[in-house]
Amino acid sequence: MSMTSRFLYEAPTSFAQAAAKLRECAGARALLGGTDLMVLLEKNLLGVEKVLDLTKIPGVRDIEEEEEYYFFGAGVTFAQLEQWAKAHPAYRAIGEAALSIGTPQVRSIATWVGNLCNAVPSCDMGAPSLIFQAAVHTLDAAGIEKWLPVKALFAGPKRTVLKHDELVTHIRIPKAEGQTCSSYQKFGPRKASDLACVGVGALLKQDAAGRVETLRIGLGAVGPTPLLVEGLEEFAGRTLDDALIRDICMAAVRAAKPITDFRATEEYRRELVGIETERALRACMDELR
Amino acid sequence: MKKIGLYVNEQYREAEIEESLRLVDLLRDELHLTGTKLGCGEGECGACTVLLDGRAVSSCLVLACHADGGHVMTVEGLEKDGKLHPLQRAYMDCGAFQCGFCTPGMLMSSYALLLQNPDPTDEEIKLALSGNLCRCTGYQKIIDAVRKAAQMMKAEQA
Repeated sequence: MSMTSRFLYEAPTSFAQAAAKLRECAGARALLGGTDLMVLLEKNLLGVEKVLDLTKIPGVRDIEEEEEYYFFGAGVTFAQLEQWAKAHPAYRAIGEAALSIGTPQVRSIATWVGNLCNAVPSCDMGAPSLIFQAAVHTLDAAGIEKWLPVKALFAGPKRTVLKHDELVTHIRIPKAEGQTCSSYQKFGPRKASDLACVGVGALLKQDAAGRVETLRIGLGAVGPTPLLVEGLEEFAGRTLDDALIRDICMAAVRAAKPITDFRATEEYRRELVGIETERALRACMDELR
Repeated sequence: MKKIGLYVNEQYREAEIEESLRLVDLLRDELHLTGTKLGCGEGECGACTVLLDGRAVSSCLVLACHADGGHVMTVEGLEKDGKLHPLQRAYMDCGAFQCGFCTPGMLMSSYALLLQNPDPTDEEIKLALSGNLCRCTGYQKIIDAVRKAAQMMKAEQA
């Protein structure tokens, strides 16, 4: 028999209803895939009184396209993202990050939104979300809706800026234009079911002459939150050769703020940032060739 | 307590359950389908793998209430009319188990793979089984068995 702590279960039929229920009950928690929450519930660490299963909300697993953006419902799983990215090659980093998470069984149910809202510093979707300038749509119990850049979502390790009654309903990413490619490189001791020691996402857009037009590097597991490397605009207009790759890797290493923990030392992580940034850039170059 | 109804191995089952019950507990303790094993309880080992609406999931990470109205398939659902599924026969032929504790989960991950990809490469088999731990076999015989089952199923369909 399960040792699960006793709690109630409800499946709201809208985000507004779910937000209202969160406001009513301080011990209520929203559940999407549940692959993180269920482990905590089992250990009875959270004092959860009520679980709100958001996956029964109509359309919650939809991926939609409008003129400027792709929209991903809060219930879109990593398995869905793997498939979606195969059909949208510019967003390869999203597919690679999704595939790097957990096990096939976890990817069947675990979600992009859940990964971001847990806000673990090593979350694999952090770097891809940052390089694609993703934003989350939120709704609270007062009915206030807004779009929040993912960059502004993270408040610290396992903390977001969201209030208790504020829910993410969607993620959107701007459509990639022209010659855009991306890559996510993750370093961990095991290939399956492991957390990142370091995760690096790179986005590269080149102009017709093969010069860098847009370059973004996102880092995971090397700071209290996923980080976007600042100041890469200065590399625009240059050709991505060995010298430029070295400069970009150094910029990424300077931006990293790693700590030592049981997974890796600070020094090792810094070294890995350079290595994985180079791998991500070279993967982008191979893609554009 | 909540009353739920779901299809388990194509049979409609109802149960009145504690709302915090996990799917694995519903299957094992309420419906007495003990083929599904509980290993780590944290989604790492894959022993509790079942199919939920056609996809492999860890039944220790899914609330039973979440499966309300859904279709669940367990290892007991592989056998049809007293005849073992080609995967089960291939696992036996290849000696793909020793203690057998991981086998139900391995079989369900294998089944989920062949459902989507009837002709997988070895790399695809390894990826599909990457969420299932076995402490006895060293995996090679399990991979052999999935490859063999795919061939058997193709031959049976031809």
